[in-house]
Amino acid sequence: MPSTSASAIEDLAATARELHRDAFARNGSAEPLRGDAHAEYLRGGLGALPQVFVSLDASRAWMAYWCVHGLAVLGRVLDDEVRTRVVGFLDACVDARRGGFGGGPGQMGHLATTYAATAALVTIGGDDAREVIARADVKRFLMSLKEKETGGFRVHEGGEADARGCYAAMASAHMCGCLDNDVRSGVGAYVSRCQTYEGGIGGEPGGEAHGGYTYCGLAACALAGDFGTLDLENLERWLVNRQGEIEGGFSGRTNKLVDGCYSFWQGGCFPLLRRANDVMLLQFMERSKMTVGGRTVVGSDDLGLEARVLGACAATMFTSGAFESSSTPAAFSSGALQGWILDCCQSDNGAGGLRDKPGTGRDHYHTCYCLSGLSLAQHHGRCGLVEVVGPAESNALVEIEPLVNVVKHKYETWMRALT
Amino acid sequence: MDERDVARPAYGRGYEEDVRALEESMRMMEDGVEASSDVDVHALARGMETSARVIETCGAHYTAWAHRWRCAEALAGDAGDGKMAVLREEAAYAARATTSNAKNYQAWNHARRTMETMGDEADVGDRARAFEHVDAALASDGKNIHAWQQRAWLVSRFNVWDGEDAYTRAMIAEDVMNNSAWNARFYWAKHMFDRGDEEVLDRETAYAREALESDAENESVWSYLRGLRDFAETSPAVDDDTATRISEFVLAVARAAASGKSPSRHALLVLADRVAAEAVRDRDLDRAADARSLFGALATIDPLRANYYAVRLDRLESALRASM
Ligand SMILES: [Zn+2]
Repeated sequence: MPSTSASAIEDLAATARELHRDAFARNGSAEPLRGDAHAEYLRGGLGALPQVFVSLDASRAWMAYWCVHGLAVLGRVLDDEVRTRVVGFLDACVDARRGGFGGGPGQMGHLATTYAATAALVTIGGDDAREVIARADVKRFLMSLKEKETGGFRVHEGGEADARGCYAAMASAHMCGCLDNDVRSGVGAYVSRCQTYEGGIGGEPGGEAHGGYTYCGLAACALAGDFGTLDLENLERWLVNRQGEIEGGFSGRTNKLVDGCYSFWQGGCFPLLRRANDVMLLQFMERSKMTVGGRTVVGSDDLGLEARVLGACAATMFTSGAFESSSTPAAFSSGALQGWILDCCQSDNGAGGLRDKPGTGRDHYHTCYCLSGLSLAQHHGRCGLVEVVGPAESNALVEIEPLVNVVKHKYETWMRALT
Repeated sequence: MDERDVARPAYGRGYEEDVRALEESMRMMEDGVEASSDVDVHALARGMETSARVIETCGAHYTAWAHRWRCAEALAGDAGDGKMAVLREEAAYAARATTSNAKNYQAWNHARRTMETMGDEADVGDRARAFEHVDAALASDGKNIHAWQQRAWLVSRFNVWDGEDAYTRAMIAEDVMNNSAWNARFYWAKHMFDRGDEEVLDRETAYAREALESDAENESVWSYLRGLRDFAETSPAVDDDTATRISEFVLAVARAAASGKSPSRHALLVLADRVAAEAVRDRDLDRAADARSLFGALATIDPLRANYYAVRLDRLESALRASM
């Protein structure tokens, strides 16, 4: 009898296979991206919402980020009136007593919404957006949540401390121009303690490796400039194994189902790892020295592998020096990831918005992270090249900076003006 | 449209008033704290009720949760002998909130804080109820990450590891692909080793090999085997004989699963990793050729990850150049 996990995984793979086949039959490639419909859906998120959204009443700053960022990735410009209104709203989210941004006006400052509000302001750009941020207040807020003994951060006064807290603190500090030694100290050590034997990063020590925490932990370390004792090769292996063979998207944890939002959370780790390539090389050499025992009696011959399996790649792919060119691929399959998002994550029947997986409803969070993941796959699948699956006129997206998940040129403009 | 309407949900009857009352109660308390004057008990009780009303409509309203906790903490501090009763009510409150949404960060944090505050005053019943709270969540979703993290925290805070062997074994028997259970079991095994159980690594690698019999591609099991092997090889507490024995056992399991017509890609990668490491350790070019052919075989049977195998080979070449 198949286990519960196994049958769920098989079902999703079968659905994805069918969707990929249909898309190919119709288009000779993946589905076109329905950019106009997605943009309309995201614009709707910036207005007044029906009562069911009351469950997101403490996440309104997030909602603003998901929509503003999603639109920017689609290359859409906000109307002046909407732009001004969003800046005013984010200003109203500031918790003057504590110094950070809350989920909505009148709410307590929270690290996650401080990141979301800051990233939204960076995306919007301009003097009025800049004026919302008071650098000293943000720093005071971050330091009030720092746990001196562990190097971690509580997400709000009295809240939980986890790898998300570290990332939100590092990314906010980076974009607000207050990422100094006080803020960053101990982050590498904290995140390292959250890395599990699997290689991915858990929320807290002893927790299970998880996509969201892994991105948060890795990006926090990259921003802090301190990888602690993170084993990056182990992290890389765990990551590549999260990509589903038939679906093409990423799962959040081992033996869990592929989900559209991990297109960014897992996918976003690859460009960060590539920037740490030298560290990984050193770690590999160090680890090799610790290998115990003699020469293993194992080679390709004594495994009895078929010649077909052995011959095919060795000759063509692995000729020495082939990977030193500027177009080195990232360790994941960019084409498969794009196929998953285009064929399986767009809403049914031409509606706007993207989703977790076929059979689930759209939401603004998944729309934001599916689009972020699609952009990332196009711009970071192969160093120095843009690879767009499907028709470029509909599918090509604006490049993001994976460290903070903000559109790259907006991030660069903002950071230039910061110094 | 006003700036206050950005992403603003329509508020149902009463919610708007509840939110205003919460803001008012918070202001009173914060001003009181700044003036170092005590807030009276009735105001604290009202603050808790107000928070609960907001939470009822928006379970993720972390401000309401934080305020409720602050009031409860102050009440518990004032209650003398009644302290534990206040905290027990909060533990029960968090458990009820988890029943309606088991993935609510705030409810789990609230439960954690009550146990932290009880500390060593928590009696057998308090601990049992905390585990019941976790187990109820795991009974309906065996992979609830919040519940597992809470369990890990409870186990280590109250040093109650003895049930973890049977608990994780039962979860794995129910679903051998439940990676959360494998993860918890790993930390239990490591704890057992630290406590002086020197044979746990042998027992657990054997247990994992058995689990592979039903599915040789179960990644949870390969990760578990690798994790035990890495611990054996790198932990200074493990003696050399044990490290070598565990390492060879894992390689033997991998070799068996990597042979034949449909080799396991996880097993092949264990071998490729090892052969690549030996090539660098021993500066051995023949080994490097073996590693190349193993990565080549992996790219053929697992083309989705061909880029990864190429990256690995590239790293091997760089390491060889650097060490020759
Ligand atoms: Zn998701």
